[in-house]
Amino acid sequence: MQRIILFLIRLYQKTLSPDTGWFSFKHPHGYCKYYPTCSEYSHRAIKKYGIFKGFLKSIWRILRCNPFSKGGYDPID
Amino acid sequence: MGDLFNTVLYQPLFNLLIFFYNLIPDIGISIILLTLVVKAILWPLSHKGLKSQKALQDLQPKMDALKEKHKGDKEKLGQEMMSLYKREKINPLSSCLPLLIQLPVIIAVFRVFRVGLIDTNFDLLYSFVSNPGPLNPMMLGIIDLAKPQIVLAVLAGVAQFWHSMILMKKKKSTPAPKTGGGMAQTMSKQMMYFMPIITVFIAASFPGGLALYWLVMTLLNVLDQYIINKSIDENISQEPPKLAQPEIIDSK
Repeated sequence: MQRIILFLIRLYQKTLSPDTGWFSFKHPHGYCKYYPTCSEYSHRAIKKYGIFKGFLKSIWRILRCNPFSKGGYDPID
Repeated sequence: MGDLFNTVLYQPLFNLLIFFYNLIPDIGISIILLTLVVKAILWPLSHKGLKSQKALQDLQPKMDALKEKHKGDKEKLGQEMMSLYKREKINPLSSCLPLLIQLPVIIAVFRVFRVGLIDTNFDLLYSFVSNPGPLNPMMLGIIDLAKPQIVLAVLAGVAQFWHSMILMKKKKSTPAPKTGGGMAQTMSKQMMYFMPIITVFIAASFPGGLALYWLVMTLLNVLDQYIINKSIDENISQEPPKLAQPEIIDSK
């Protein structure tokens, strides 16, 4: 299960992601205001903490990734 | 979840469409008006980064220096980039949450034009929006928006290609910052030609109303991009000449 989710995140990054996927030509400076990007963060979180805790951490990250936050360097640990 | 989606997104959009239809009994015009409203709502979300574009141009030398210094170490580079933005008190990048919020809005719009045009369920109308009776699907009396319209679909595809062209041109005139792998870049470039074709096929298989929405939305995006590009160019040409990067001015 965990591996499937991790695979899906990678698949997203290679296709639909505005940061690293097919549409990256629209965003030459990148899209996500954080480093690592939200999807990369989620990938690392789920890999490290497992599905449940990793998923919660991912949700919390995406909620923080809004127009009112500062963004910046925000590693998983 | 489905109920929530209906009440919060589908129903208001559908009611607004019928409201416009009651004002001007032409479904084509109503769709165009609804598209304008949707664009106006999504506008602030997509426009956040505009102001910092200028700041980004000025930062380019520093960014290039960082890129050179941390070549091959993406982790370190990302970290340094972010702390550079922090020092300069800008963050030119977009955020992921609005992207996720836009998704259900787009799905609701699609449903309004796909389902709402064909078997109209007027139970969903609010009490203050009067029931217009059976909708006349003809736009300007000639285009049946309830049936697939190839011409509208092709126009939508052409508009989409136009939009990509403008984006590409802009990208060329701003110094290309992303070191991104060659593979991703080629893919991205192919998508620019591929997406409009996909658009034509998808739009041609749905009712014309959807194609019309797509066409109008893309034209609005093109307009939007023109305004953005223009304001960036103006900002740049106001700079003293020694700071301005000549290739940016030359290219436009």
